[in-house]
Amino acid sequence: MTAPEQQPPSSHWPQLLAVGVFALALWAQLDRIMVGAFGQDGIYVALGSALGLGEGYRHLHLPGAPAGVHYPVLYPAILGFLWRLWPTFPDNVTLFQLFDAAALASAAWLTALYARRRNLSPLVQYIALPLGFLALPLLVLAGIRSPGPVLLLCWVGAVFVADGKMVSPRTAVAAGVLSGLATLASGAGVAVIVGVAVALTYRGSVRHAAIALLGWFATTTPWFLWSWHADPSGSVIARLRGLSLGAFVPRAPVGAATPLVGALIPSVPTPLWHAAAVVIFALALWGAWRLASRAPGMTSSFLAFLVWTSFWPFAPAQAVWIGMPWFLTLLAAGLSAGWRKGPVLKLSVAVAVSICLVSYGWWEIAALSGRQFAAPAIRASAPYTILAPAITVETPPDAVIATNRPALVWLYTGRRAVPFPKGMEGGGDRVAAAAYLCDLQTTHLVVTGPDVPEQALVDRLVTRSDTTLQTVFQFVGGPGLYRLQCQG
Amino acid sequence: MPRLTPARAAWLAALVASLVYVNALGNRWAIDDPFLVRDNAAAHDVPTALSQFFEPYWPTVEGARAGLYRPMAVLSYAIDWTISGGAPWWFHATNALLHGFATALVVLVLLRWLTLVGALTGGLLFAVHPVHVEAVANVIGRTEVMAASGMLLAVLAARRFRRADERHANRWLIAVLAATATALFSKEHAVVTIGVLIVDQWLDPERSRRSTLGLYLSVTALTVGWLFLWRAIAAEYAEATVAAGIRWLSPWERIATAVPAQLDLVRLLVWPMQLAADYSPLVIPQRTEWGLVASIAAVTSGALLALAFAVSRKAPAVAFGILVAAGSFLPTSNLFFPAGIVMAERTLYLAAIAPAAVLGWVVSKPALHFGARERRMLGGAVALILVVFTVRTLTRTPVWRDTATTVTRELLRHPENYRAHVWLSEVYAVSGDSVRALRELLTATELFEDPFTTRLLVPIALARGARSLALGESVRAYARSPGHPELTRFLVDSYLALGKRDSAIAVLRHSLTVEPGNRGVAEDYALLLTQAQAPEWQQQFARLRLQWLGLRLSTVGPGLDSAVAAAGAVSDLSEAFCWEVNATLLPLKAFRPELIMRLRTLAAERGLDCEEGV
Repeated sequence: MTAPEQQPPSSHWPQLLAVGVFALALWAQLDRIMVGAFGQDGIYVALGSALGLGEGYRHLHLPGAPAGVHYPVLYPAILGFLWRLWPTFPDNVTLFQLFDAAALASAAWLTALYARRRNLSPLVQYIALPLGFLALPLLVLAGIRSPGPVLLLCWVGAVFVADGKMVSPRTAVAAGVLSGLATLASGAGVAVIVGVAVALTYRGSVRHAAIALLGWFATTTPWFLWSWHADPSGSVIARLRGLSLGAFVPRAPVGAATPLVGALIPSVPTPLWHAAAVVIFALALWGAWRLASRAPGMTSSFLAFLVWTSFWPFAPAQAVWIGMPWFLTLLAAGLSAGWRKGPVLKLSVAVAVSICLVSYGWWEIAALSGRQFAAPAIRASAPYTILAPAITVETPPDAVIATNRPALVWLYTGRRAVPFPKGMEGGGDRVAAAAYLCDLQTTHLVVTGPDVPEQALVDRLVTRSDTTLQTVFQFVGGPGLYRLQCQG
Repeated sequence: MPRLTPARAAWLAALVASLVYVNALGNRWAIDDPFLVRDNAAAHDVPTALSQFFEPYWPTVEGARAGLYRPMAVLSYAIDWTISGGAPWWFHATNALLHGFATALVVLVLLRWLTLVGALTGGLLFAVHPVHVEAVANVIGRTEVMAASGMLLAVLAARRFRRADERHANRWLIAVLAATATALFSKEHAVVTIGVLIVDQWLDPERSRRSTLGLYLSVTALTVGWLFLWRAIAAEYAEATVAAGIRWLSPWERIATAVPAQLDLVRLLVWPMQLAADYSPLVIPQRTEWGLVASIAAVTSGALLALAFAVSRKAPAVAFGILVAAGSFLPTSNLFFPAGIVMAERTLYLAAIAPAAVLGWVVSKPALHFGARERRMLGGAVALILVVFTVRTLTRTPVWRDTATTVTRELLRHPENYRAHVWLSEVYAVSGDSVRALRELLTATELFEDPFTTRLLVPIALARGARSLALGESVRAYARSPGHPELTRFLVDSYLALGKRDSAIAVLRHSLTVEPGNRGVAEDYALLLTQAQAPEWQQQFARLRLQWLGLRLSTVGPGLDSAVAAAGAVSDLSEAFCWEVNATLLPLKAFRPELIMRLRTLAAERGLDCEEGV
């Protein structure tokens, strides 16, 4: 069932890849970007700070500091530990950056080792994996605080053990615990235990699959129990449902593969894009089929990951990007298999590779030379570089700020913050919005520019009679700060 | 007589190295010791040192910090302070013991290529080499000893890694990484550790049992991670730390100055009889052109490097010594980037392994070829060298007794050293003798123009009523670093002392033009305009700029309306109007862009041409 293990002792490819990934991940973080500019990155750091400060696992940035039940605890716990080592924010972000880069590099090392042990083709080992780890989406991820690298590391670790040469109760427990850690790093980590269980079952050991599941339960149950116990129904979190926290809003599966395929063919015109996407995705699926017997843990966990991220309502594109190394592995296996088949498939492979090379290659080169991967974060940070210090000067310490980046505002100003209510395009339901803001004892509103949805809400609130909105300052065509007074 | 073994040789060399600094126990705090140890809270207890592990090495002095990051050194000071209660002799004893440890490591490293006697001889030379006095007899020189020890430990651990079986290889890899990390967190020089490891393997006659690429990759990753940390913690202060002797030179001039200094490097390693506590711009002259001395130095350095490669097979110890010396000198060589020094004896600590290796090799070879008589003669010569070096070390150590002793002894040898005069002035100032302090500072300024000297001189001159002197010095310093906030303040104070308020205001305007974001200068400017009872519109503009810089943005928008209205009510606007408007242009654009047109009209109506800004 298992493929022969091949371990050329002189090959240092995994270490070489790891050091390259480490250096590039650090290089990708040379820009000064404010933590929280992407939203969730700030929430992770805020939760880490709460743990580091000994305040418990709570959203200190929100009024009432509700428990952080909706964010898996592993990554914030690591940040909390690092926070204790270096408690000066934002200086300590350097330590977080180093850790994330090291986690990504370790994942790269383990993945390359895995590819070698599973005797995957040179195309996978020397082309697909480096491209997967050095891909722009991963560089973007490396630039923000995200549990992605930790998830990938635990994921690869679990798959490494589950697909290993020897399966024993001990390795099954290890695979289960690592899957549990992946789940504690990110909700998408649930896919890992699915993959591990499928792999072990596929290898004919249902007993070991059950042991792995037990390991996973043992690792994750305390967290689930605590979340259940600390579920803040009726508290601030409940009022924030439908905003960004905790709501299981049903939505149609968007196809998690789209961001992965999209990253490979970024600048292809629409009709061709769909055709190319179908070909690329089909080739990746074929690759999965081809590798299923040799690397069952990897293929099944990746497919489970795609399914999970398709249905999980809170998975942004970034969450899917972390699967890029596996996706490229499967794609490379599919390309390799296709090339050996008839002329039609050969042609498909040639077309797909050409499109990827031209489209993605150009994108990657341009982005690397101009550091374009950092541009979104710099753009998102820009308004807050002036807003954050101005908020500190202009608002009292007990102010509650409504903003689209609550964690960022709290981290840099120490002011509690709440997100804006949803559906503000065109001002939304201003009565409900005003009630929501007043209910949360909001004292100030921050908008980052005239084109953001919140500006429409601000414009409409100015006309309300039951609230008073005063301009504290407003840059022409730029950010502004408003003082809110709720009547009664 | 007990048989000489590698361990005994190492112990013997360590003992000699420690004993030769026994007279350092009488030393106290000298030069930078007070700032970094005696008066540094982080160096006084371990928890504080650990809590400040990610802080720059230099504590903040008058708002300025240095671009150095050495938390292991601070931790070692804290341990010493906790044990000794801050007794200087204990710190010096630790330094001597650390020097002994480093010397033992030198013996063990050289043993790879030399006979036992040769390695011991090399170790003894390293132990008593006078160039080490600054690193060992001065407390903060410990950073050099710690970094060198870490690098040598890494070399020894890497050798064990290369020979270890599969089971123990990882253990030695971790040892290499731990030693490298200790070195890196002790002093920035250790960034060359990977080079030292490569050289050692290249020269090692025994083939490695395993591939070492993984080891090098691991050390590279560690070094890259450390660089990332250093960049975040200390890099922004690095520019302020650049040595005065090269700070205002172009890259080419810097190289033309730095290359001749390599002759001093060779001299100090070969015959270190003439030592200096500081190599200021006159001790090592600034050069603006490539000259004969630079050519000689370049040829000498090139020849030594060529020699290292040429003898790599016949005398690998010599090659190792030369290459390690060159490598350890590289970070402060000023060849690739400006460093904090042009030359300092303490930075040659590890470089002294070069003469040690050469002497060890010379002693090792005769055992094979020389007769008994020649061996006796050689032994006598070696003994003589060791005795001479020991005597020089013993006589040099008390020079580092305290700042006053170091400085006065330095001035006797190098009266042209402007920094020694600055240090002496500080000694006088502390003792309350401002006349002598001023005199020393004036001498220093005559020798070399360094704004740092002015920062000490002007307050003393003003306190003593020497206003014209203060003004002259301030003007000179400001011309060298225009816009510098502290120099701006001195120049303003000097003008104000002479009753020239308008000149002071003009200086502040110039400073704000050069550094528009300087809040302190903007505060001074607003204050001075108020004191001068300047027109209301002008005061309002100054206050607005201050609010803008302080991000008190709620007042900026309405304030702009008010300031423009006040200006509009005045019929005779001066040229200063244009400057005020230009200096306030950013807030104008951000809050009241429509006012720009009004100001344009206002200026035109008053016959002013400030079109560029408005």
